[in-house]
Amino acid sequence: MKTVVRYLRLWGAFLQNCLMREMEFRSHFVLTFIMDILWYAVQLGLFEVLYLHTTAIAGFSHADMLVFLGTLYVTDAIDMVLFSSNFWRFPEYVRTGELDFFLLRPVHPAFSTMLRYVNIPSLANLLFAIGFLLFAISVHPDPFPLDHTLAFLLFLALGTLVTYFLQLFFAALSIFLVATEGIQFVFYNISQLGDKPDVIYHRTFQRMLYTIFPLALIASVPAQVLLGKLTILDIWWTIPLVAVLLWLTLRFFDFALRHYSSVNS
Amino acid sequence: MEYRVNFLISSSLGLIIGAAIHIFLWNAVYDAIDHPRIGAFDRKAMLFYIGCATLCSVLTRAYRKEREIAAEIRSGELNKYLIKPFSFFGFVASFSLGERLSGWAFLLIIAAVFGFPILYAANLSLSFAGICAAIPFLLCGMVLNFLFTLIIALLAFWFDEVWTFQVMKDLLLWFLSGQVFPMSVLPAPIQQIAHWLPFQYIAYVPATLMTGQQHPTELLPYFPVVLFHIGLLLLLAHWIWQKGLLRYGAFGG
Repeated sequence: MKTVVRYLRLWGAFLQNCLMREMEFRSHFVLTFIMDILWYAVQLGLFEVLYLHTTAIAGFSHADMLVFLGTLYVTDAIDMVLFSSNFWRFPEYVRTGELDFFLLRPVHPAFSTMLRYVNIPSLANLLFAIGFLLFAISVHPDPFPLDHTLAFLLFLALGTLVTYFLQLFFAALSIFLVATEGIQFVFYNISQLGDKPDVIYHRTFQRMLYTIFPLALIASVPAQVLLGKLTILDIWWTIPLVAVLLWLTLRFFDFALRHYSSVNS
Repeated sequence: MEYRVNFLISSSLGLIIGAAIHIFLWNAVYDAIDHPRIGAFDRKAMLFYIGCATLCSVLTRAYRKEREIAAEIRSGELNKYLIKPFSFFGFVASFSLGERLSGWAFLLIIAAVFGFPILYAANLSLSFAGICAAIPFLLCGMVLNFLFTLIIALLAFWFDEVWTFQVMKDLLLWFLSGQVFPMSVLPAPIQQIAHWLPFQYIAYVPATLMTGQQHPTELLPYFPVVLFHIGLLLLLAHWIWQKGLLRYGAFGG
């Protein structure tokens, strides 16, 4: 418990530091906010075009899809706030030897490297995304019982863990490779599979998105839980799966660090 | 070599995964409708179009050099070009062309390896006349994307960082170029506007030619339009460059 409090206090210090930095670059704040809003707009635009020609896609009505998109925006904003900018910096740490400084600190590098920078502009996007999700829920014709909402919050937290360990895994891979940016592109491209409801994919593909690359757990599963299309009984097994994958990823990260040779040494 | 590997990984995955996602998505739409066609596209034609449009958008995408200019402006590295007796635009264009030629060869091999078996299995064929007609439009699409990226990079004379603008440009192109849906499925007023914008030459026009959805003669009148867009963007890039140089302090380098 003491360790958790210590890590939370450390993250609070990271947040405070990033807030002060952000105050110096206000144009960056506005541009990053607009950029993410544009990403939301094109995702929404694509589905609006599709729903001009159909009333449902893989069992998702237009109202269902708005809830899915709201969930996707929230999960994306959480990723942008917490992990994304750190993940994009990681190969640079390896290339320049800056990773040495993280290894010297008395906190686990899987925490300090992946949570060091809090993306402040994305906090505004997170608020927007939550607002959009609440709007989608309010215009949905069906009620949202409390148990669905609680299960949604549980799977949203699980999805955040998936977002974290997938990026940690690719960050660890970049320690072994010189062409580190390529790894980021691989992750970026693969992660796009999670931007659509998993039910549109072929069965084999879908299974992969629940197990090997559990991208479906990030937005698709929480949205389906909220909509009542999936229950905890259907997907309870993903909870131990995520725990195991997280543990394996942390072990792999430690293994990768043992093979890290500093450029400064 | 490292950058080339990054580009090839990014492009080939962008091609395969990008096409796969939207093919699955459109397939789900056709599963849901009770009529066989959306506009002029039946299921097979739509999936074929999405594959070709994704290929076109990957072939016409921006490369590293034009993006790097922003960093060179900020760091003062631009100085090394300014003191040399050649046109900066000419240098960037020829550097980018060199990168593209090797990238194109690789991408076309990837497209052939994945595409031909699918075409054969689905009993589809590429239109030879369409491919010949698509090539000039693809080249124009490549020049357009190059100019969009270059213009945004030149904004680094005024802004500390321009990567957010580049991402916004990529998002707009993803949506408005016809990569994820043909422009003809949009409502008529939006189609009318889209016809006068430069974005559709990056994916929609070459893809409809390759798939035989449109005959080359139908799209011939659009060729002067795309050349007009290129001319306009070239003038804009030149104007920004001139204005930017007046602001440039040439510190560092």
